[in-house]
Amino acid sequence: MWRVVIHNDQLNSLAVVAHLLHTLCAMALPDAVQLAAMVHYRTSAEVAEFPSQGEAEQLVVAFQRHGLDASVRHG
Amino acid sequence: MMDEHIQYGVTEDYFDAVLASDGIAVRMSDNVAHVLTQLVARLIRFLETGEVHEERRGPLRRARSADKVLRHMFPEAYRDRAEAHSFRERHAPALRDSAAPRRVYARCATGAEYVIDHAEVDDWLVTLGLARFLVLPRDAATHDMTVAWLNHMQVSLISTVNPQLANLVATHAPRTRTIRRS
Repeated sequence: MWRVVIHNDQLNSLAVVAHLLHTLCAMALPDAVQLAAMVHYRTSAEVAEFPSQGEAEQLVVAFQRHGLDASVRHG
Repeated sequence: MMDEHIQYGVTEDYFDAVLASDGIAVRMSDNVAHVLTQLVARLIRFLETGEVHEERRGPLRRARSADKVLRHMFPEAYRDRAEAHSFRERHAPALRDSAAPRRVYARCATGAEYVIDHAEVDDWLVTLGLARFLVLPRDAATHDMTVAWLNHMQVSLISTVNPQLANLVATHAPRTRTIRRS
């Protein structure tokens, strides 16, 4: 599986990360906030997984376009 | 020696976003509108041509190269450097698409007060999110006033679109310690 990871940074607030998880991953708002908090307190968190590399990369592009630090992991 | 005529005062700058019947009513001070417009123009130029206009801040601080700004703006998507490089090349057209900042720039040119529709909010989040990297590196330990304003604008728009978000976020915010005097 191809996993998308968001990394904590000095720039993005919990609200911004939660909003983007809500809109880009179609996540329910309470779940998005919980996952954003995980990114904030654990320095990174896996937020989605895909069977194809292309789909995972599309989401990383969308996150990076909004100023988030996102990457792909395989395995 | 400090200039004794310099005066420090409280800023009159503001940026407000409120829900309106036809979208989100946004208003800001003329100074905020001016700085925002300039910054969005710089972002469009950077995305389209790779040109960085950065002033040296102090004698010891060098201006950043376009490549460095690009790496902060779009960080390594893979642990492997070759894969990360290939990702950046493969997705360069999408990453460097300037359509959203261009739409925001067109809106900024109309003044300091306007109504943006809900579909337009994402253009603003992209633009504000990327514009920060023209001002500051991603890993900067210092806080820049312009970045603070851009973050404030982002959160104001998000809070207007999702009013329930603020309450949900508050439950996850770090608790403050109360110091009691005996």
